[in-house]
Amino acid sequence: MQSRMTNPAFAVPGAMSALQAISQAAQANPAVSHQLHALVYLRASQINGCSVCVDMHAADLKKLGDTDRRIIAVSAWRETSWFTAPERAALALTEAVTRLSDRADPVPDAIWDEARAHFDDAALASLVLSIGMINIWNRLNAATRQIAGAWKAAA
Amino acid sequence: MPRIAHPAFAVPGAMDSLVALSKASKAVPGLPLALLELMHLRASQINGDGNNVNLHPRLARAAGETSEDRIISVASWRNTPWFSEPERAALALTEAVTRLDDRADPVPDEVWNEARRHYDEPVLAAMVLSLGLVNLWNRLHVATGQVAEPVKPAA
Repeated sequence: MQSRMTNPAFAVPGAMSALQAISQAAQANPAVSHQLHALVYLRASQINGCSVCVDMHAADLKKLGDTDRRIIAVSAWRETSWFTAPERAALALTEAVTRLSDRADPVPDAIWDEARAHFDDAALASLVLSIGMINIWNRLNAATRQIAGAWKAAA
Repeated sequence: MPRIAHPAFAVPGAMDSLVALSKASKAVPGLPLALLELMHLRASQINGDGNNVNLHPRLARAAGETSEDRIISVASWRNTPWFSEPERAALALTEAVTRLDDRADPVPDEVWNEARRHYDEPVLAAMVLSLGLVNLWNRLHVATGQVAEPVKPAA
């Protein structure tokens, strides 16, 4: 397996530092834990079929102390008892905001209001930015067909 | 009324880094900037971003697009005589990269190779990065309920 070309994050001058700056901005709010960001990244990457990000963020979760049982269950979180109410709200929001294309009312009030019940405006803004960011990475990797495991060699 | 303030403004440091990423993507020599705005328009149509659907025709004109037929017909470009082969390849790539969610082979070789035939790697990398970025903006706007509003000329 081979990628189609160099990842645009490396190929476009200035791209990587700007991408990292956006992520840092999104993750700076202590009301949203790094673990929750990683859960969000993993779920969006599963939906978008980004192998590099699925691999990377599952590993991140493990490093952050999350359990194999939870990490394996992220794609099926609804029918588990292992995620807290705020995590469930964030995962539902992640799915809705990731599945925008060609949908009527892709982010319905019920999902938004449930997220709003657990996070304040600033934390929600961070979460939404973070979901947008992983959707960029998923597109960079999926469009150029980056292969899981090859990321370190490219970096 | 938006659900919350625009995350690009609400999250400290977000706007600066988003603008930096936009500048990096547009600085690549040979990138067709008016076409890029039409690509952003097409992605924003697919994602239902009222704000950006309103904005990008104006940015396309500012970047040199002179045909109202082309701007109006971006959503139905396949069935018009107004787009060149390279433009059609770029619009097909836009649609594929925007519709990643829950799809098998969302960016097929046929679409990728046709784009690659018309654009060199640096330009293609910038296009993919730019498509990722507009998909991020679409998510910020749709998730938080930012609606279309009048845009000042030459914005």
